[in-house]
Amino acid sequence: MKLAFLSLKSATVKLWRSVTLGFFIFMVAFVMLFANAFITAAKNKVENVILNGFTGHIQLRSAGSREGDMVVQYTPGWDLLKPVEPGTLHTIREILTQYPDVHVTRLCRRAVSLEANGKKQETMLIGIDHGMDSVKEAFLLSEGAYPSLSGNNEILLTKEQASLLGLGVGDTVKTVTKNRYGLKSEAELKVVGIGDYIMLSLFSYQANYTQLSTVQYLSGYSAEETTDILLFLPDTQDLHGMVKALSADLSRNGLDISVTAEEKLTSEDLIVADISFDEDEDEQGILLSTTEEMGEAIKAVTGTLFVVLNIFLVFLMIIVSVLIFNLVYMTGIERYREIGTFRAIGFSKPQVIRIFMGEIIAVSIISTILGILAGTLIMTLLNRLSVSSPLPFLNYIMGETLYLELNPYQMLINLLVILGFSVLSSFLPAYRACAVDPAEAIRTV
Amino acid sequence: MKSVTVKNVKKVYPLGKTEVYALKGINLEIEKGEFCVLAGPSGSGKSTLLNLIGCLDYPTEGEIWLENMETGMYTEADLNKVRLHHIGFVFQSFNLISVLNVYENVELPLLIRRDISSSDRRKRVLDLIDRVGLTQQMKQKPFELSGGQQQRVAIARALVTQPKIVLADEPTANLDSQTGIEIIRLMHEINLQESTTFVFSSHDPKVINQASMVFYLEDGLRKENAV
Ligand SMILES: Nc1ncnc2c1ncn2[C@@H]1O[C@H](COP(=O)(O)OP(=O)(O)OP(=O)(O)O)[C@@H](O)[C@H]1O
Ligand SMILES: [Mg+2]
Repeated sequence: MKLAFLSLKSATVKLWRSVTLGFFIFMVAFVMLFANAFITAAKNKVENVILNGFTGHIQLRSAGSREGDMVVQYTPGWDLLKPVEPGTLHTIREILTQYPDVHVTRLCRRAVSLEANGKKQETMLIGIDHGMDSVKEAFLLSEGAYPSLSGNNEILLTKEQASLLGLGVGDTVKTVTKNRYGLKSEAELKVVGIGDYIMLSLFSYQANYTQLSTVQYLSGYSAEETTDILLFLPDTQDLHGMVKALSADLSRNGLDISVTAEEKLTSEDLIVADISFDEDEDEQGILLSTTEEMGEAIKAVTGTLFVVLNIFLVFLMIIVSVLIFNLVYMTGIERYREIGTFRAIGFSKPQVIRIFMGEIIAVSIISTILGILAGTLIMTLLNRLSVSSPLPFLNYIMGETLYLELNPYQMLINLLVILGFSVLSSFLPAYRACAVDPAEAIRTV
Repeated sequence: MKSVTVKNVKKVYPLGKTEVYALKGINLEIEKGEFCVLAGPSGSGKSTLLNLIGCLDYPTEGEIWLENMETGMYTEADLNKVRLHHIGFVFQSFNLISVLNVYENVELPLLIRRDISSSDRRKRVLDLIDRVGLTQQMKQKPFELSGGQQQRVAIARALVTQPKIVLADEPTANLDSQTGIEIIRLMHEINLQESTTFVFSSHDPKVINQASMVFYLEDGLRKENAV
């Protein structure tokens, strides 16, 4: 207690020394908070996009669809999609009446090539069921409109595709694919909107929204056949409980369920499947995946970003640790006589170390808190002002306006990490400084 | 009662490959309440002996007794406690803590004493500051004080724990002779009032004359007959 008083006294009177140390720690706290908020926001965003635009909370597919990870760049694997049988769809619908809170919608996907002005673009065409508003959370329009509920043959293009194909809103694009029988099928689609997938555009992700019926037509499916059934739950907390209950219900109704988490497909599987695939093969089962398992390719990228950022922060911390080490070491030399005096008066080595460390910890806590406060203030301001993203590509990461998430848990972690580093890096030099021989230290030269 | 007994004490410092014999077998006894001085030329071993009596270091050979405790038996942690409870130090260059004001500097050793209540602490600190005549300067920092005033603070700090013995290594060496004499007089006055044993070192004859007992050291040995 009283030693803490001595620490504080030293820290406040030798203000310049404390400010030097404090400044580095302040900067680290600030950068750490900011960077973490940014990346967390980006991560949440991409997960939302995948959830809302592609997978729902739970996705049911035909077991015959051997495509592996859904949200990857265009691969021939998209041709391996098989529709859920109408009977199966019926059964699923029946079962889902027991879960009135669950919102059910459908996606129908097909690998196609878009052709216009002599240019070609391979992509995945995604037909959306009417009422799938969640798509708006994934795709940011910059001109035009979303495909209408009642219409058909309307398509959204990404800016990149639009410029590559030389198309604008109102133009038509020829869409070519092979249908389920291996026959060429094509349609003229009207470009109703141009924009970008939030976040996913960074990875030049190729996918285009259109109406469900358009893809069903191109694939040779009936109106009852679709590749994906998406379930949106009101409460994600109970995702796993829901998966269990649903699987049980489905198998009780004679459907063969496999949950993707148990049989992850590798890219090799895809190639093998590509060769041996035969749609007539009687695979009746259905494949159930949760949003958590989907889009792993993209999530891996954001995960990597997260790791890289943290490695960067750790480097920053190491630099600051070296600075702290140095500062404490120099202070120890500067205060050689003072330490000797403390020891001569009767202070024990641990007591002197405590005074020393107390100073550093006090400075660390104060500057970390200041750094976090400053970071929070600036982020709140940025959020409040809803500034549009400062860099043109940023709005595909952050959405139309910058929103940085303030996470108290994250702040606590920052505080602890910074304190941990300061304590670790100051202990050794503090210990060394306090290990002086008092007789030696007070010997006046 | 004996306050300090030094029995055949030798101290050898390693110096590179050779050794320095700082003390070569010192014997002396200091009665309780004595006001005595270690005199002798530079390098004669005064500081070394004071450090040994002050439990800052162990003798290479021989025994040092503080009243009835033989210091060689103690661990480093024990010696810390002995210093805190029984010994007060006054240094040549004052060694005040620069960030603390007069009051806080005097209070410093009491901060780690668990056996003294805070009201007692305050009383003692104020009393000692008054006795060294610095009540007006209580809130000032060491750099705002003159050398003599700083040494007064150091004396107050040494006495605040009510030690059995106060050790002062050349307490007047950094002061002009008039101030030096005043400091010695102040110490003597307290010595008489409290019957605290004082041992200080000096090679200034004017200071040495103030002591009631003089031990001469030369080349690590005592010179008995040179009074
Ligand atoms: N830590 C040490 N290491 C090596 N030699 C030392 C050490 N301390 C003292 N000495 C040597 O021991 C001898 C006695 O030194 P000491 O400081 O006790 O003398 P002193 O009487 O206090 O001298 P002064 O009047 O100059 O202060 C000297 O030769 C000194 O060089
Ligand atoms: Mg000396």
